[in-house]
Amino acid sequence: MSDFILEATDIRKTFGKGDRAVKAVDGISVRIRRGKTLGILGESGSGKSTLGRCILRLIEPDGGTIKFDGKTVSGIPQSQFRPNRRNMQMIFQNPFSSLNPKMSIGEAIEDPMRIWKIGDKESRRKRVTELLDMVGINPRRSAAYPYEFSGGQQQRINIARALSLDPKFIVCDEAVSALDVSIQTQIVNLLMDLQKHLGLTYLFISHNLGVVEYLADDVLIMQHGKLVEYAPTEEIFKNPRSEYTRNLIASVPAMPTAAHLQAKEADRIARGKGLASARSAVAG
Amino acid sequence: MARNSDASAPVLDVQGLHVAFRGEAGLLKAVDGLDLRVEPGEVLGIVGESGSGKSVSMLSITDLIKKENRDTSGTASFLGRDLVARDLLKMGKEELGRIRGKDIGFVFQNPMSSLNPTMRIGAQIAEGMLHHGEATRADVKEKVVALLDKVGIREPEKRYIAYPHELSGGMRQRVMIAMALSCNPKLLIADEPTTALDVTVEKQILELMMKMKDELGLSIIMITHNLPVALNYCDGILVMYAGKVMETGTALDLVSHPGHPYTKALFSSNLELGRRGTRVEPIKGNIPALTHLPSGCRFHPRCPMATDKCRNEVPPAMQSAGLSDHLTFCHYPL
Ligand SMILES: Nc1ncnc2c1ncn2[C@@H]1O[C@H](COP(=O)(O)OP(=O)(O)OP(=O)(O)O)[C@@H](O)[C@H]1O
Ligand SMILES: Nc1ncnc2c1ncn2[C@@H]1O[C@H](COP(=O)(O)OP(=O)(O)OP(=O)(O)O)[C@@H](O)[C@H]1O
Ligand SMILES: [Mg+2]
Ligand SMILES: [Mg+2]
Repeated sequence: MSDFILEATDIRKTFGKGDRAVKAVDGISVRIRRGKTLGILGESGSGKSTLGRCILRLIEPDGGTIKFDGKTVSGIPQSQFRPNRRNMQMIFQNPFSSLNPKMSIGEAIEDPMRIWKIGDKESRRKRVTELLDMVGINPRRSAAYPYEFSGGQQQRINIARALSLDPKFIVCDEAVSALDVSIQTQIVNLLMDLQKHLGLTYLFISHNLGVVEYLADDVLIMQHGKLVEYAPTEEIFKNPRSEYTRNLIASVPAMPTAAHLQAKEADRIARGKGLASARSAVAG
Repeated sequence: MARNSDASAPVLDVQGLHVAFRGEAGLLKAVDGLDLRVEPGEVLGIVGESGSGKSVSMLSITDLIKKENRDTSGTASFLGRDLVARDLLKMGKEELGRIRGKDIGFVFQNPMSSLNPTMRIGAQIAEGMLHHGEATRADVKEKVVALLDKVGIREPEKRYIAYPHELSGGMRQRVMIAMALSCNPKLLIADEPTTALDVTVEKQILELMMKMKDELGLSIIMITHNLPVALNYCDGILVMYAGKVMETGTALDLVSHPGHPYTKALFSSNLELGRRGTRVEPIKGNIPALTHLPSGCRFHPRCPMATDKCRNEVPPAMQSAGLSDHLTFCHYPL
């Protein structure tokens, strides 16, 4: 068994023709070890989602080879690829629009098992209970509908659904970007805990550098479809090699320190603009 | 610490704002007694978890959400360009319509859904300026092009005739800012203006907003999930939770001595750079159903320090560090 659950080599995808052609992914190669996380960073339009979709063959790459779990899964017809789909799932950005509003959350989580004809009704129900438990949602709420849950809970439901077929590999495309800070952390911790217990492998696409630094083992940085840098996470953040990466990291707003804010205020006073604050009328 | 003590009239002074929605599950109290003041030239940040009433409070005072099932009370005194303060909540439709988009500019979270996809961007900006009498047919194009240039859109004459889908996310957000600033507002309300953008573009947009603030003498209310953004760019911060203010003070106050356990929990749940190898903990539990709010302090079910007093009594405003404008609504401020 190969150490690498996923090996994608020289993936290419161009959209459009002639002078309108966009090389969305231009010769990217990645390898991800079993049970590890590869983070993909890059500015908007750099090709992150396209790469994720090519790897899952949700769109057909124009070139390159993909090996999953030691088997070549590119260049074969979709019908032959299909059995792999069970093992490769995807979680998207918007938790609400990825759930069918007319299905109870229990049905939504059971649905993939029904489609894949796994188990009988009873064993599937049991699995739904188990999955809801695993993502921290009370299984007694399985008859409730998506709109009855908060954004963070909806994303947990999506994760439970993605896990229902017992996949080995999950592409998370901006899976926490629409959530608030606390819920982001909740979901990221959940993904990390599940990885530990189930040995899952993730391709984690995000424009949030803090999240990627927190959970990824390796990071790939893309620009205009091309690889800029690909290294272990610590390397990328401690010793960024390229100007592009350095600029990306420098653009992340950091939590300011008191000293920093004091200096800023002193500067303002020097320029004759004191600080007026969010004075509440309650102060009287 | 030096503080601005001159009593210049605030641009916006909201007192006792209540917003409730009538629904099947009962009365949903989205905003439950909000006070806030924005001084001239100041940036006020509103932060807090999803569903805490940040957007609803701003959209209600400007009447941008449906009225049918909404009860709104309180006052929202706005200082117009004529320097006369008027209560937005007591205005007729027409008067408010004259202020909205003119004296008060808006930038919404999703530029794609707030720009008309079938209309060229130049014409969209021009429409508002003509409507509010900020330009004439003869000079409107020139003014719009100058504005596009000001917000950093290269080749503005060319972009004048572009459709929204032909622009990148960052450029669309610049167009939104240009539109919001087109009638020389006194107040800019920006709801998650950079959430959909990548970090490099985010920085450009925030810096643009600050530059515009200084050049045009604007005040800004910035609603954001991004705590470092709020703390770096805002002068005052309002921390909201489940419809109520938990804490208010300057960015410096909140960073150097956060007074509310909620503020502290919110700050420490943030996955900023440098957290690798540590275990960052989210705030335990979920925001309560706004139809069934907890008694006493509404944060008490999730607060590690809650006592019987917290369960039974609504906390008053407590001054932190003896500062009259750093207020914490907690029985036991940190
Ligand atoms: N179906 C499509 N048809 C045409 N062009 C496309 C299509 N999908 C993506 N593109 C183009 O390919 C490029 C890469 O897009 P992609 O969505 O992969 O970027 P991304 O890095 O995921 O960006 P974001 O951070 O904004 O999600 C962009 O220029 C985009 O406009
Ligand atoms: N038109 C509406 N009718 C009924 N309820 C509403 C309406 N608009 C908002 N709400 C509810 O009011 C509460 C506050 O919503 P609001 O949009 O102000 O939250 P927020 O703090 O802006 O959150 P986010 O960070 O997710 O944008 C939520 O519970 C929301 O579901
Ligand atoms: Mg994408
Ligand atoms: Mg909002």
